[in-house]
Amino acid sequence: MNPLKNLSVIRKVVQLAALVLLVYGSSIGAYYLADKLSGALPALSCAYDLNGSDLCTLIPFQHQMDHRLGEVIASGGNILMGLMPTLITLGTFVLLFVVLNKAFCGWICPLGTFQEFLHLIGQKLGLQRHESLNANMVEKMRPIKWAILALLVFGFPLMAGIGWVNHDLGDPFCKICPSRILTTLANGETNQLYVDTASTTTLVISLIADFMFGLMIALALTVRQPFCRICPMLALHAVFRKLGLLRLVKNATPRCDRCGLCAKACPMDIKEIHTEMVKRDVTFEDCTLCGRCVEFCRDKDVLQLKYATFPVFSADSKYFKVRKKAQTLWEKNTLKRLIKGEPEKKVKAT
Amino acid sequence: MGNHVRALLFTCTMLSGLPAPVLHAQQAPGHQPEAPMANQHRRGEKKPMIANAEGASVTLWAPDLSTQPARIEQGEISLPKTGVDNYHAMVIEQDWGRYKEALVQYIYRRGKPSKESPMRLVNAEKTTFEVVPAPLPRGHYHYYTQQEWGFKLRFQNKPLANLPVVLETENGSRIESQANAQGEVTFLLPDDFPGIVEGERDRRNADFTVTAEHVDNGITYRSALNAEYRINQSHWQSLDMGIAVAGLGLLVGGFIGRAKSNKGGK
Repeated sequence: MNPLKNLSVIRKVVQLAALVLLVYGSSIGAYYLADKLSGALPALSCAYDLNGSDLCTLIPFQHQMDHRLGEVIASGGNILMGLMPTLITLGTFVLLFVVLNKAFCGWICPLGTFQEFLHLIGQKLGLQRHESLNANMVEKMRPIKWAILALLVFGFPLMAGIGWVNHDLGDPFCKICPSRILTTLANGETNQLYVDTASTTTLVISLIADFMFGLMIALALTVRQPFCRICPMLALHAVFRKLGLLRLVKNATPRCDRCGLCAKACPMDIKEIHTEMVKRDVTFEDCTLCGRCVEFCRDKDVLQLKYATFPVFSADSKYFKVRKKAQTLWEKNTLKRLIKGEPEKKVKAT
Repeated sequence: MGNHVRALLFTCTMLSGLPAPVLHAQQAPGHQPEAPMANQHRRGEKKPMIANAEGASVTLWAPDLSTQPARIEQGEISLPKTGVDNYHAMVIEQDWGRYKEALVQYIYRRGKPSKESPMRLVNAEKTTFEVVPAPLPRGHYHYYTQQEWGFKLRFQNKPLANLPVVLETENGSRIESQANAQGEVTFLLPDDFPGIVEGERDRRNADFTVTAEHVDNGITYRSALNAEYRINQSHWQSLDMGIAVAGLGLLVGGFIGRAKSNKGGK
């Protein structure tokens, strides 16, 4: 298959470019490229990666809960004034969100890219599973991202600001975020991979962070996007998904009942893409708008990625055949097979 | 926030006319120790103070390179408001005729987004002879002990090579070095805070200065960069344990992945 016509290949090129920009931005442009970006867009900056221009709105949310809203509530001040910075951050986030919608997760996020590439390595090592997680497990995991958003991004920081919990819980999500460790390690800095003995809280949080970082790496080799499934950014995106211009649209046909390839292709295991037969907008809360379901839909225009009203990528039977063949070839030819001395597999044209 | 406002005392011998400046910092008179919870919301700007200020001029550079003079009243420097956030530069200059001295300190101020990169401010010629941070720590980054940080010497906005440079800390350390051909010099910030207890968080900070002297056309220029440094977190954060715990996560993840692969996958 011509790589230039393969949406997954195009997406990986975009993901790699975004990763380089966001993790090593200042090394490419200028030292303060990151600062320039964050100076213009105060809601979007990762303060832990000195060389990067990582985009994460969760840091300011936590700081604003802790240092602004919590402080205002504790001192009996004007709550609207305390909320103002958060509203500005949210406004900036929504402005960008309208442009990309949840495609930030599937096309831009460095942590998502890292997990995808780990999974590719897992496939080549022959560790790949045909299906990722079963429906029950997926269903049980879905509320976790909402709990993390509510408690770790807003709840504990707010309580720390008010004074109900200790200040080590002022930015608890950042303290456990694998991206903090990943982006700093990617820059050759080990200062974020630590066990912190300063207090019981920091000890517990740092143990969780390090353990989860290792766990994520190992799981990503066999399970698609393990951390994305519990990422509060996914939940935050889900809140505003009706505002975004890029959407996944389905024109269901009776044939959909008997297929289900779209759900199997989905890296987030969203079975509803297959089962939904009424709604046209199928940008579900876990969707990252990667477009993989569209690629693996065999019926013309049944699934589409649409920007506003314009289709940008539509399901097509010819594309499906070529893409499926390329995928089968990719999955069959593993290093394990090569090491065993088995001949390279070829897929017959259908 | 009045009780939370801290002050620095710049006892600059340059301002008292002595040839060798020794900069150190101390709390302003009347400073009260802060309760742990009260400390967590401290956002007040540190108020610089200056001794023997006669004849000294203080200029505040905003991120957009606009400048405003600052007032000195009874040794306390009142920096004018600029209304914008980001790094500002406070430049103290003293002209003794054939002996000119300058001290630069970068100060982060809150306000509306300045929409300017600090690089612009750092690169701007703020005084004839200047010690420039390369880079300026930003965001969650600060000068920490046991870390190497770079500085550049710049005279009339051009690099100045091979000059001796001295780093002195408030805790009494003194390190001498020499700038390279590009005017760059690197210092390992000394781990010189007294009474550090391993395993316990220590949020103390102190000031350091990087000073150099240059003679041009019979005029002696002495310049210093003043900044705050903190205790390295490695005293209570263990990388080795971090690696071990991440390794444990890897093992558990590998075990789970292997079990799932055997159960349901190819």
